[in-house]
Amino acid sequence: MKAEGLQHILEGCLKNDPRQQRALYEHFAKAMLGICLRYAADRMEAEDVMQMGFIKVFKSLHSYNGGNFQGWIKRIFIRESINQYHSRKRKLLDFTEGDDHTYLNVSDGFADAISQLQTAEIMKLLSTLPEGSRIVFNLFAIEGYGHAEIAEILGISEGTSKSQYSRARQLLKDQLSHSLL
Amino acid sequence: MKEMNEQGFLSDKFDDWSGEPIPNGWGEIEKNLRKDKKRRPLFWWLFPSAILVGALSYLAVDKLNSSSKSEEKIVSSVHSVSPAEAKSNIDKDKLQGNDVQADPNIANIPNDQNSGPNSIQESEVTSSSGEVLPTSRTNKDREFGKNQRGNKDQSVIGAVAISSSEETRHSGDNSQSDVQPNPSNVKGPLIVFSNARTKRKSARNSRLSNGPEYAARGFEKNQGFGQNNIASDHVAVANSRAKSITSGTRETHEEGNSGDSKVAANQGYAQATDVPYLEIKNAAFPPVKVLETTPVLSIRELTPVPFLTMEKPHVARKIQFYAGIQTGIGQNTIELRQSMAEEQMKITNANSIQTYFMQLSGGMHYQLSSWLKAFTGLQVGMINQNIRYSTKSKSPETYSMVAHDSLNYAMTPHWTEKSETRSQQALYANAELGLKPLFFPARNSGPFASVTLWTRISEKHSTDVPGSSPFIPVSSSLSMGYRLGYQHEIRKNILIEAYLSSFPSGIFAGTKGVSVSPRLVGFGCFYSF
Repeated sequence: MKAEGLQHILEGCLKNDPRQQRALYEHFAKAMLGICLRYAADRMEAEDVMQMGFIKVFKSLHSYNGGNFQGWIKRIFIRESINQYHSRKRKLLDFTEGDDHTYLNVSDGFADAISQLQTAEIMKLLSTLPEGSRIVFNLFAIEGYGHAEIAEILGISEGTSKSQYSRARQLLKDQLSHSLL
Repeated sequence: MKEMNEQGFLSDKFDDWSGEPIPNGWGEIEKNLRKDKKRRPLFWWLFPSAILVGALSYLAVDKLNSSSKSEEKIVSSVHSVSPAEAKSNIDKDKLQGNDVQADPNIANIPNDQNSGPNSIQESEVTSSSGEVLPTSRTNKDREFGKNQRGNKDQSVIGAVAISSSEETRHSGDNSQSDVQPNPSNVKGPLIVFSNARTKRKSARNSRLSNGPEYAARGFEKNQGFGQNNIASDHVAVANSRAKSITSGTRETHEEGNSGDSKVAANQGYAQATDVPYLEIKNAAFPPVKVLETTPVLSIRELTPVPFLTMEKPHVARKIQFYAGIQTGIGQNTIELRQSMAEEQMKITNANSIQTYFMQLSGGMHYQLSSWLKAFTGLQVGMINQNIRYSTKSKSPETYSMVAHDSLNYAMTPHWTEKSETRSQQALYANAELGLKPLFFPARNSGPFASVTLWTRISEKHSTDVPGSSPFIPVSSSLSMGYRLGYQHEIRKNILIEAYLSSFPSGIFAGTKGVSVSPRLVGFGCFYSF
């Protein structure tokens, strides 16, 4: 979508114009659902999160003050997904405190190997991960957050974030090795 | 470090990753968005509806009133006629014409309406159709001979005005007055609208015998029927012109008295056979030249009815009407309420002594504190009869009593008990007290409580059972609720009020437990001048 078109939609949304709100929804729904699917336990939860995310977008649209709108809306959906997870678990992620040093020596061509896979295959692999590890992997490897930021989002220590990523990485590596065999 | 290099390494791969939303995804979102929006208050939907219903009901009831009272004899007063208008009408009809000379005392006639017992009182004339007509207004296009009954629905032709309850006013000056209660000998001005069919004979007799009276009827030019009647009417007209009444310092004029049928023939008037006519006994008409300074038909208020002396004069001229609907759940289904104007009540009062006493309902005045406003109301009525009176006053106005004459039409009168519809009469008195915080006085909202006393009269009581009585003991009920209303003062004398209140009524508690009449929507317009 062109910037002018998006701007027009956003102005309409700020005036609570239902047509423009729907246009915004239709433009971003698929991408945002993809994000939600990565974090949610199942599709139903992902759709719920997406609905809540859009409601939050429309309500907080006045706080958007320019910049990359897709990045802004993406962050809202990620946060909403995390919140949904928190509310579901009613506790912080079931992260087990890991050894910060366990991952430091990892150098095994994992990134290259998993990059060769199709997105759907990666999603399939990710669905096998424990939720805590999966969320950290999503945030680190896909969203590009650093561990410090992930720790802040999830309310965990930075070391825990690193260990969870290391755990996810190891599990994915095992999955890849197993599938190759 | 290898791990650190993996940060966001899959972001490009997932940029285009998306899911397929469910088809009705937006519907759910939109519903959630709209749910949070403030809904339009129901009041603003009810407000125009109440206005519409109120207006329609008022018109309907007013129409019923006018048709039901068309046969009744009405003694009326009211409505001022300007000197110019009266003069033009008089001149046009040439009732006085050149036959009447200017009286030297004309200029001395005071314009003060309260100048004493001999002064002509200001009164108002309200015809049956509500139209005010001058003394001898004619309708040249009316064809009385063709449709006599139709004329009964017409405005009273020649309705003129003069009224006074001070019957001794002219007793000393008017030699034409004799003894009461003979209608022909009524002392003092008196206007009688009556059905010509039933009153013609007596009126004609009185005209012929007493002379100083004026029969204001519908006259028809170029109508030739009823020669005898024409003659007699012309005599009456001529006499009325001729014998202008001496009142106080005014002299009676005999000029034009000799015209009789000649004048009548020249004017070509024909008598309306079936038109309610105006009969004025010993009316004190000033000579026609007076019109330039004083209305021929000097208008003033009716002499105050004793119990109405509580009202100030301006209050007495206040027009109030109320229209509203009441709906309820239970056996009392719908009540249509309508009040008549106070002016109309006076017309009725002058004609019916019963109505006098019915107006004796009282009002109360409360002002609890400087920041609370109290309103009280008292309502006494009888269901199954078409009369209900209520009074209501509000603080902090100065004391005033407002009497409503409302008609209760046949939408309430039946109670159903054990599948048997019985028509019962119920007497009740309702007192209402409420508090209105003045923080938002325009909203006219606040809690209120209402107490109602009931008794009923059963038409079907068993006479076989000893001690059986048609009277059901007095019962009471208490209602409390909260009223949300709207009040807007257009001017100081025009107030529009609408309200919506919800309260459990329980007005039938005395008969069948507690029923609920939870809704009351009302609209009122108060206008005074």
